[in-house]
Amino acid sequence: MQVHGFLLPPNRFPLLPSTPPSSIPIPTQSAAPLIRCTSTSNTTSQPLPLSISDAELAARGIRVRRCSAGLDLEALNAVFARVGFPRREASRLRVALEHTDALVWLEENGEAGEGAPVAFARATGDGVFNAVVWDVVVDPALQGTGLGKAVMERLLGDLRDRGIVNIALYAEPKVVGFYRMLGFAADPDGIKGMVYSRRKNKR
Amino acid sequence: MPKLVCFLKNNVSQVIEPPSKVAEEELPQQQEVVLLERTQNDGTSEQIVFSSAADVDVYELQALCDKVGWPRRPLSKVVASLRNSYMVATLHSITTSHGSGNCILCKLTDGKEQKQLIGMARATSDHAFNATIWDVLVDPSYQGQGLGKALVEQVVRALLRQDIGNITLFADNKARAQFRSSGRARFFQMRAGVPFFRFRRAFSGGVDRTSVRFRRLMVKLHPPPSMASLASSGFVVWAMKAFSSSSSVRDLGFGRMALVLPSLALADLALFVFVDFYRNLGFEADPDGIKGMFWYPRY
Repeated sequence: MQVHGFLLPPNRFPLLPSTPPSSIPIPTQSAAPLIRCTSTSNTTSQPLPLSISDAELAARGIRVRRCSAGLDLEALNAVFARVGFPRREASRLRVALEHTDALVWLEENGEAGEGAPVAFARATGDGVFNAVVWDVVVDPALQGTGLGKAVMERLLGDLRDRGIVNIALYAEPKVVGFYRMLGFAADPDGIKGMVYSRRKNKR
Repeated sequence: MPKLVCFLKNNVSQVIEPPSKVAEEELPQQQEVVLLERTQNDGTSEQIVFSSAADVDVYELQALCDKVGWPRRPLSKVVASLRNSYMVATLHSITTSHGSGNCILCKLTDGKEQKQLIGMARATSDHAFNATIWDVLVDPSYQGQGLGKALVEQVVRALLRQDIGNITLFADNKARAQFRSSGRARFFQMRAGVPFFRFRRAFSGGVDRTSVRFRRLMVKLHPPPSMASLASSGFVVWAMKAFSSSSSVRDLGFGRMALVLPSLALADLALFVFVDFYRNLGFEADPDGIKGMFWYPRY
């Protein structure tokens, strides 16, 4: 019945799959949210293709880090400031990083010094169904060299390995194209991203 | 207390215990608000209580999801997701009977409290800057009384009290995803479970023409005609054309939308309702052109 085919389109956006893919490990009840600081996972799913391998990054003197330990928050704040993000109080930033589900940053060996990030991305969520990606930055001096893609691909891979299928983010107009290239869709099925606005509330 | 386990390159795992003092301070405090109180004719009184840190019985939650028409999710995952959420807000209906009647049953149940989960919303957060609200649901038999609005309002207030400045959400209707995947059978179940029109009337004030038209349509379609009969009349073919020619249903306009396949139209109307609902609560869609994006991996 052809009509049927129209009524049952493939579930393009697996926001809430009724049957989870078999490769998704069910977390144990006792497990606290872990920041897994390495991409080695025990899942059988195919690793996501990386546009720049760790080895290639290493050849450029850049190391991939997946743990907030050793990250110089002042240096991170400096990168935030350079791309025009608001500066964050170090103590609160530390709290936020402790409660971050997945985190990838790139460290450059050289003049920037130990713990200084040249690219950064993190995701918060419930560790099971949903994740939201925040604070994706690349040092302006190194923008356009594939580092943004490198951190995002690794972050998405880490989230996917943990079975998180609903990965979202809020993108400024000028970076929508970048995320599209990574496989993100804007307002899929008309889903609207909404932000609480204090100024409206003050009325 | 989440532990940070770092696997270093030389395979030595190092456990970093974050200071526990800080963590306890920043957890949302238990907060209960009585939103509504009413007495029934039979002497029982009902309280609707909002709580931002109540325990959620996952079986009760599953029953609630069933009522609303959301797809079932593995309970172990639901438990984990609730535990990992920064705030789990609930609406409970607490019924107390005062035994005003003479019957034995009334005396037996005198003073006993019955607590029922009728709504839930949760928020994930980094405990400092950002929070995202997910899974807002209210028991259909309690919809249309402003409880959904009160629920989200209280969650926002509680988050602001924790000094979390960036509160976001994705306005969608879970029923859509479900019904796109499972088609028609689910639609009729959903129609029974989610009274969209009532929802709209309750939150945007007044009955608009669309909802009236929809209700009429629903009445007409009860019992719904079979798809085969619709197809033979050429209706489905027309609806397909109408839908495939526009990427957004908004372009079709409300008038025509009511004529499109009722299942699809209902789902899309529901989204407008939800966006409107959150807009009335102080949320802004796409502020400064910022787009909500979802990963749609091609793996």
